[in-house]
Amino acid sequence: MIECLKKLLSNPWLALGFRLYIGGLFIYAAMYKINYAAEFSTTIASYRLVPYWAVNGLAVFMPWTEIICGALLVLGVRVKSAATIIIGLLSVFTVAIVVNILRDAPISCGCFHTLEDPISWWTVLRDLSWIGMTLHIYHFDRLFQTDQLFLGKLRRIES
Amino acid sequence: MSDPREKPDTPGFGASVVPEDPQSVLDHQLFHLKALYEASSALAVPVTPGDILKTFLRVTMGPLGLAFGFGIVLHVDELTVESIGLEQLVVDQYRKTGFNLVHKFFPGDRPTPTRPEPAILVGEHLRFDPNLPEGTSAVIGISMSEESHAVLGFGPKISGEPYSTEETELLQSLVSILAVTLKKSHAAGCIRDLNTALKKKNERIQQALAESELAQEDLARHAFELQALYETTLELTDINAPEAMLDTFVLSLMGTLSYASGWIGLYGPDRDHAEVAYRGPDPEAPARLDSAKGREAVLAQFVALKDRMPQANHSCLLEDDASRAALPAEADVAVLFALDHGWQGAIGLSAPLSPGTGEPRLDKERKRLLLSLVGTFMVALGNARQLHMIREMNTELAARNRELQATLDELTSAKHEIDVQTEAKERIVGLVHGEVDRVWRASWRDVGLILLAGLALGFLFNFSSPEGIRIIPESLTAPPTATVDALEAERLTRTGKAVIIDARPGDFFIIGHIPGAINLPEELFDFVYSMKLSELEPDVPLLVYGRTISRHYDADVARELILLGHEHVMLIDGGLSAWEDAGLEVAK
Repeated sequence: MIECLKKLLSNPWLALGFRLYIGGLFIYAAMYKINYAAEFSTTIASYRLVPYWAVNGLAVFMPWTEIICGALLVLGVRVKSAATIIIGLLSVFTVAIVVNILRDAPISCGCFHTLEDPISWWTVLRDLSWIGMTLHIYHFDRLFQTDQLFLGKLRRIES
Repeated sequence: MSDPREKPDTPGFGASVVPEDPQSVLDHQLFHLKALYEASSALAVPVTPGDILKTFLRVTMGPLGLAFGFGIVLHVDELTVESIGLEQLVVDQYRKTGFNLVHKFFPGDRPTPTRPEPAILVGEHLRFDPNLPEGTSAVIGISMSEESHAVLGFGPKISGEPYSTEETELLQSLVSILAVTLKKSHAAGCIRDLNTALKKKNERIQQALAESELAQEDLARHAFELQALYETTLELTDINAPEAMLDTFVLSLMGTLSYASGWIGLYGPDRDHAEVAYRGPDPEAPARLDSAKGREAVLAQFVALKDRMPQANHSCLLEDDASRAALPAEADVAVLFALDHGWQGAIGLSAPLSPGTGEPRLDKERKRLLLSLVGTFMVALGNARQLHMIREMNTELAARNRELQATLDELTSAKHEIDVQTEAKERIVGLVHGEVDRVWRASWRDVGLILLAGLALGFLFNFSSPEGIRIIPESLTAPPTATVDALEAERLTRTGKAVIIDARPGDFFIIGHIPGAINLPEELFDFVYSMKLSELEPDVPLLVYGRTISRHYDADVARELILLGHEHVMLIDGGLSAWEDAGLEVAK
């Protein structure tokens, strides 16, 4: 049973599913933030963790990093590097949410839209689950990785 | 024996005969003077010691009437013995032992007198002296020089009377004349000997002079030959082309050996290898020399020589008239020579420039000179040919070197290209390896690139989008707004002179705010302002608060209010926290 569970958990197909899901999720989340940078800036500011002179820059930079990482995951290019960044982003988000939950700040997550339910421990759990999925991708994903296919051809040419 | 040099005093064996009358004395003196005169006259003629002795004995013995007389003259090693009245046996004995008699008189350890001084010895004791002939009455010794002495002896008077004083004095005078005569004879003999020696020396000098002239002529001839060789060598050394060398050598030979015409034919191992030089009156000679017949005619002479055929770098004088006549051009003198690699040739000279001699041939010396010049010519020609070959080889080598250099350059270029390609391949392989390895792990470089791409795309999109926001917040660069502390703000509010505005988002306002404050978030500014603050007079003080680490809401809203014309917009220093810290009431 445990072996089956282990095999199931380490299944590359599951990792492929997680990869497409997390990639799509980040693309989707970034689309809104890119188009509404001012609102996303306000959301970042509502967390009260970033100095005011860096808030706007972060609001411009972060969505594009998210969409690039999401796209790389979907395309299967530099998966581990992209997964590493996503894990980092999710970890920062989770910490920020936890801090503001502890502050009793009346703010929403701002992950997808400006108007969302206020942050809660469920939000933290959701982010943790996304981190788990990304870790799974990092360790077990090996299917349909585009750059590996391309580099595999190069290696065959070399040999 | 008594010393002959003793002064003869009065003769011991003869009493002096004193004439009784003056006439007799005068007659004796006249007789003595005549004897002396005759002796002087007689002794003036003879030149040899023998003749002098003979004459002296004759002119002395006659007047004195002596029985015999003899004389011995020793000059160096030559002994002369003369006598009158002695037996031949005695004379022969003196010819053998005369040295002893002379040496007894003149032992040799006495100094030679500067003048011949005769010494006369007379007396009875001489009669029995074993060294002298029996009956000798007087002995005379004369020394002319260290090596010339004379001893004379006289017998008794025929009359048997002893020598008178006058006779002794006469004898002494005569002997003096003899001494002078012998001295003169001796001197004359010396002069004669000297003349003879001088004559011989002169003859030898003349002979040496003649030999010297011959040697000089020989030397001049050798010098001429050497000069000719030197000049020919010099001329040939300056010439590197074999064809020009032939012509130069012909001219040089003609000039050196005085011939008006000359030629050289040089033939190689192949039929078309022929080099010809001709200087002379015959216009057809060059063609004959260069023709196949000319070649065959010359080479035929080599064959005819058989064993004497010159080997490589040797030459041979063609002595036979018929052989010279068979050559393709006229030649009074002809030389055959052979070079390396099968090259053979002939040299001919004709028409000598010295017709007076009538001899077109060369003497031995000039033949030797000719062969020496030909030897020099062969060496120079061989060197020129070697130089020519070396130059051709150098040219060929240079061409090959250029080809090799071109090939080398191509190979170097190809090697360089191969190296570049190999390096490129290694780099590509390394890159592939790196990329493959990087795919399987998280790369900090990829992470950096992704973040950099996000940054670049984000800023690019923001700047190009009409919905773009300011990267640097306006509150960071805007001039500071006037502030008021919490207590003053509370006083102004309490007196009803000021309006407090909470610039934070509504959620924060709900949680807690200053009593009476109007919530004016920036995102709802226009709506809320038109609803609640548009009626206010511009001079009403507006006290704004509300800022976090991430957003200066109060400064942003205050700036908007100032833009709308409110004259007294101030920020509450410290915001809600300062208000609470001042112990003022907070509405929740």
